[in-house]
Amino acid sequence: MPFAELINLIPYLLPTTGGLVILMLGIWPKRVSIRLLSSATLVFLLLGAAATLLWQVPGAVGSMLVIDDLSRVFTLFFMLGAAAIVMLSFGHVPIRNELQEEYLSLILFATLGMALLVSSNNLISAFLGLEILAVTLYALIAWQPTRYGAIEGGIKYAVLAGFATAFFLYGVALVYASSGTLDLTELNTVASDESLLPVAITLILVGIGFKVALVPFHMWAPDIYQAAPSPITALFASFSKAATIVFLIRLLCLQLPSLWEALLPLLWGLALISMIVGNLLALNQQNLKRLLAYSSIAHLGYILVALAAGTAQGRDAAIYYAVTLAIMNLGAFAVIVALTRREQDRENLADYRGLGRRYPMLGLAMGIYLLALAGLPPTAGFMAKLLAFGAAVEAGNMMLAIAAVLNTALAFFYYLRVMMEFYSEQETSLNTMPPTQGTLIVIIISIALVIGLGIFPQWLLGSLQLP
Amino acid sequence: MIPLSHSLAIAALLFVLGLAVVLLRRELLFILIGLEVMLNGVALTAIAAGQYWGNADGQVLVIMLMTVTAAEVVVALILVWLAYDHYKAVRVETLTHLKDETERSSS
Repeated sequence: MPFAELINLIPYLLPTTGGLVILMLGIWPKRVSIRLLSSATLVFLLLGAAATLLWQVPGAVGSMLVIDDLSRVFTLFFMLGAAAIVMLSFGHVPIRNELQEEYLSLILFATLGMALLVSSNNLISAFLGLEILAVTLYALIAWQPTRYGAIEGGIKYAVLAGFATAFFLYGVALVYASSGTLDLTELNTVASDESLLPVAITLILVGIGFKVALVPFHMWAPDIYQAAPSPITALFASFSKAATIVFLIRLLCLQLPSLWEALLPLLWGLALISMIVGNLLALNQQNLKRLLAYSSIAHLGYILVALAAGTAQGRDAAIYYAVTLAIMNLGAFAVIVALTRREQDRENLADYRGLGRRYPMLGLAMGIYLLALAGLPPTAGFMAKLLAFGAAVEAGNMMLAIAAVLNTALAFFYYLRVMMEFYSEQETSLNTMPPTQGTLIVIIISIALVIGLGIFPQWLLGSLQLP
Repeated sequence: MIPLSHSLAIAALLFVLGLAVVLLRRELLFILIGLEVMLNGVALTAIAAGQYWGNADGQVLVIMLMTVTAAEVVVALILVWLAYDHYKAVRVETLTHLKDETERSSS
């Protein structure tokens, strides 16, 4: 293996060795404090993030992984995101005392899975990345099994993710049966004259639809959002979904443009029902985490609106939207972590009543995230919607763009309902724990990114030089 | 030599059979068995296609598939065992604590 390829592998080797080292430290004869273990995890993640800067773009590792601007930006993003999740977990009182070396190493392995997924150029490595991510997530969702709903959530996710994997793999096997290759670059050359291939890609799309919770494959999402500890919810609501979407974009838009054209009507339909069903189910939701789950379903619908445009503009809008959605969700869940009670997270909206007045900083932060999710300028949420719907209009998808704008208006209702509870005159009697510094840092950096990316979208779009 | 379409048809049948088990059975262990049957359908497809195209990618895919799904089932089985241990649950109907709340509560 040439030296350059070894350098390209460093960002994948660091989380792997990091995960193993953390596990080893757990069986060290002397007890290692959890603070030290968390710091070690953070060091591995930050080193991994720094190592992506060493990449010579464009490059490759064999024919399995491709190193380009897209994989660099997202690998960097996931490493920093996982560092944020570690900081949130450390500040989350209900799981803080149960934070162990396994938890931290699982987060490192999940990061590895996401990094593999976004840079895979072969369906086998994509499958590996997807599974490393999914299996670590089952375990993390059921962390602290005695917690209310933890086991139930873990089982539901395990069964549904297994189901999704089966569909994804059947698609992969059929791609192989119809074309004789699993390499995405080679697949592109045979893509035009195969009739089985669109069916196979549709099956892969079903598998991905389950993973990112598109309607009609969304039934698991709210249950898992509610069941998982908030930092883990943030992990899979933001980063794992972004990774899966980026893989979808690489598969359809960059490697198989002819199939992308063929599947546009399917994307169109999925976008429409995801938006409408997600928003309608969110309207009357009383549980904040479930409400955010339904709102994520609707946001995934908006991403598909951009992808259904079938143009380079739509693809860029979808990438921008995926990053933005991840940051907004991370921020919202960071506020939930900051306001947690001693034993468990707050569940109902009523438990948050008046907290915006009691903690002005956190209230302001939640306000910014909710307005960004609703799509108000000058936040990144507005810019993402503008780019996505603009791409749909340019491509002539007038109907879809109008439906998306109407849905955005509908979504305002439930985001404002959360705001009303936060700034209500009455106050909940439930006490809160003071948030830790790590949580506050995550909240502040996400606010800076939400507003910064909203005003200067070229920060992200300029660093992606896609064909 | 068996033509590719025959093996693909058998594999598709296996996949659909597993799908039916997952959708119809209510016991957690049977659902996991159904998932395995679906994945075996996938493995058969990959092997048959590998033989048809005469390259090793199909076998590589199957070996990866067996390893990874074994890991997946191990974690899923631990969760099923935990469910039995804590709730005495072997059927999915007993796992319905998480559901939508649309009534306003006043705590």
